Amino acid sequence: MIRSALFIVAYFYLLSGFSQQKLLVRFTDKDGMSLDPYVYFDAKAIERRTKHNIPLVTFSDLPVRPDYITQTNGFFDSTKVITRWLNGIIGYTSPEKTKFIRQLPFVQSVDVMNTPKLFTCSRKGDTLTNAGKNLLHGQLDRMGHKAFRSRNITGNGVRVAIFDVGFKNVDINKAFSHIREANKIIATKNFVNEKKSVYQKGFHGTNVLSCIAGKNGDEEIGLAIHAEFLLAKTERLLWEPYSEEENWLAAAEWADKNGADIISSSLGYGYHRYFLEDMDGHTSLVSEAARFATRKGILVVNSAGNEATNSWGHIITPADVDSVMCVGGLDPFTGIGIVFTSLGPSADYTRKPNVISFGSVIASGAKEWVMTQGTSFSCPLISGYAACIMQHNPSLTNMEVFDAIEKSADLYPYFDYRHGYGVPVADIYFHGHDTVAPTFRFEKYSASRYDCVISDKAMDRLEALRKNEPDRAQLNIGNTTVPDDYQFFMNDYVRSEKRECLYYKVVDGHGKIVYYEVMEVYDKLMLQLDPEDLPEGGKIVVHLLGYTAELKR
Amino acid sequence: MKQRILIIAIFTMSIASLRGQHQYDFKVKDESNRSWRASLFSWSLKDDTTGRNFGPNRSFFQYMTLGYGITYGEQEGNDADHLDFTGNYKLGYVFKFKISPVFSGGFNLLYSRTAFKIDQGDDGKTFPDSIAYKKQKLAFHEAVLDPYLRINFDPKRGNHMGNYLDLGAYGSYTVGARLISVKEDPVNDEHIKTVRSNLSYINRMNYGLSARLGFNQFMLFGRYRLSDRIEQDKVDFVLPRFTFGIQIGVWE
Repeated sequence: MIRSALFIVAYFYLLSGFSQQKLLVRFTDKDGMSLDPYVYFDAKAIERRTKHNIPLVTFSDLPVRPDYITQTNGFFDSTKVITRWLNGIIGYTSPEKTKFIRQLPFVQSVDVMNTPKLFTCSRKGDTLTNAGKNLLHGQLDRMGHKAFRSRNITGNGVRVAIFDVGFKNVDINKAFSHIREANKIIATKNFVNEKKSVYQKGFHGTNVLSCIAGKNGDEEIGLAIHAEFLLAKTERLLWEPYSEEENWLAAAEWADKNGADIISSSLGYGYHRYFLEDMDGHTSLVSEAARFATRKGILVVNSAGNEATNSWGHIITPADVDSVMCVGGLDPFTGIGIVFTSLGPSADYTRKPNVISFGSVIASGAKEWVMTQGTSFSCPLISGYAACIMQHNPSLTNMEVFDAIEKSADLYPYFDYRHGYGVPVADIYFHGHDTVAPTFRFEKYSASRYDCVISDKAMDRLEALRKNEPDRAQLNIGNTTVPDDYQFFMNDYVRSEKRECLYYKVVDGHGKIVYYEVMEVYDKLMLQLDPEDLPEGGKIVVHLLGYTAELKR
Repeated sequence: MKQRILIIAIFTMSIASLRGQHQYDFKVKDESNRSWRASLFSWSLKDDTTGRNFGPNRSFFQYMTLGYGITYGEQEGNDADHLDFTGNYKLGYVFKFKISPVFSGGFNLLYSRTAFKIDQGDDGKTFPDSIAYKKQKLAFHEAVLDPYLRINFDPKRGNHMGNYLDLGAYGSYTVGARLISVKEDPVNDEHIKTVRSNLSYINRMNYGLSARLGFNQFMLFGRYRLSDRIEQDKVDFVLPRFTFGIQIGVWE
């Protein structure tokens, strides 16, 4: 029998844990600094500022004082980011040197950042089958892309910055040849390792880019196939323990400088660093960066996260920022929120997610065709949609585009914390919502009972819609999990149009949703309630077949 | 028997979070339960806000642990160097109370089983007897109380256990100690197993120091026993004092 000794190797870990800290050091001023915006900014950045009536030069645009950088760097072991927007510097140093940094007269604050990360990744799929084609067409048809194409709207002239883990194969995959040939990749930058290309590692960004602008032969994968791109690698691959929020900040400043109209970020940070109550749009560094970006006139589109099936459950940051378009995932087969899509609201009860799009998609990446899942891919579908709106109406500000996206969603004005306002549809963007006759009414049965009764016409309409669906599609499979087998399509039926269900929610007197539900309609009488059971000052809101009505307590 | 009760008692300690009825569920209820089958998704704020005080980095947390270790150290006394490989198994429950982002405190309740294998090959063996068996082991079943102070290295970690060092002490009660001896019966080609319990030389109450280095759910542990398992005035033999190994915390 062999005696073995197990030695605990703690010394070096403890040493490393205590000897190095990552700090965000903010400075007090930028006295004496100036900037020629016409030299510093790309022409499109100037154009964006002019359109949004933002001054060409603000305090946050001025460079950080070099003397402050030099003096602070003297205490850093290494510097990661110099940030104009936060007027500071991020770097590594020891706790002993941190004390000296705090004492510098020009230092406003020092924040210690020890940041494990959350990274959501996609799985790669199989080759394109007929079912795959259905899904590919469905992910665009569901947003009404024909309405854009008939008007020759392809995102032309709109510049989208994508932040991701890497864009491997973008330089060779034929799904991006039209982008390369037209020189639509304006700039790339690797914020993790400046010596390496963004094309060296990581397919996640490749998949994301394809969902905005991919095109393989005649098959389009995204809506904005003629947009321009700024590609930023801000994340390391899976096993890097620290978050890259500071890289996100640096990339946002770079995107601003280079004229981005949209930042598409299929990234987020959650339980490894934060509590749920931190998802308030203000606490995280990346939320601060996102707010700066929106103040510069950039539309920030971010994934909601894939946390619904774990204990976190909710959206991640920076999707928690009120001015960030938070995109959840729709299940293409059930027509309701996909099982893993993170739920809203934010911690301060801001309405989140804002909209949803397909959470299972066909993309292009390691192979020509991959099936992949995640709100990482709903986000770029919406980014492409936003680019099309911006091309159609270039005078809109970022927040006007934000409003237009929400108002063109197919559940609007109905909203809940899983579906947001629904899926944006181009036809609704162009023509507005159809005026719909009431599809249900609240009937007073007695003093303590109100019935929500569906009209005969609505029942006939629902019956007609059901006749077009295969039997399987009508099963209660609302919380399906996807099998591991990549031929996972339960049937070929992809819902390229809205699934007409009954949505209802209970709202309290402060506007907070306290309960919501989605039901398949099987009878005229679906809901019964005593208004006294509603919260004080609250109401129930019901949506069916495009009609929304409420009953107040 | 006592050991089994102890294991069951520790194993079944858990808090079940009972989800209440959705108080705003206004579906029409009928005997065929159509409404329930037609429900595709529902969510209640009441269910969503439970557990905000419970979690790896919340005010309170509890979780099960499983561990395996080995003993190490000099055996002292007249019968030194008579021990072979020893294994230690643990099954326990950890209670954690958060003091600050850096400090936590709490205690472990553990069932611990340690089996000291006694080398039969040496001449002059006198512990626990002078007979050379095929194999022989001295097994201890203990109930352990292990209070600790935890120092987290990464205070900004969200609702995550993170990386930490636990320092503490422990006290244990030996619920059962058995001397199991197996010898061959060459006449009948059989093995004869003898189990002696209620051993008079066993010291039931023990104590010592403990430490754990944790990386979220994975822990390296070490214990140093200060007391003597064997009453020295009865038998001049001291069992090894160090035990170290790995533990895994079990939580979602």
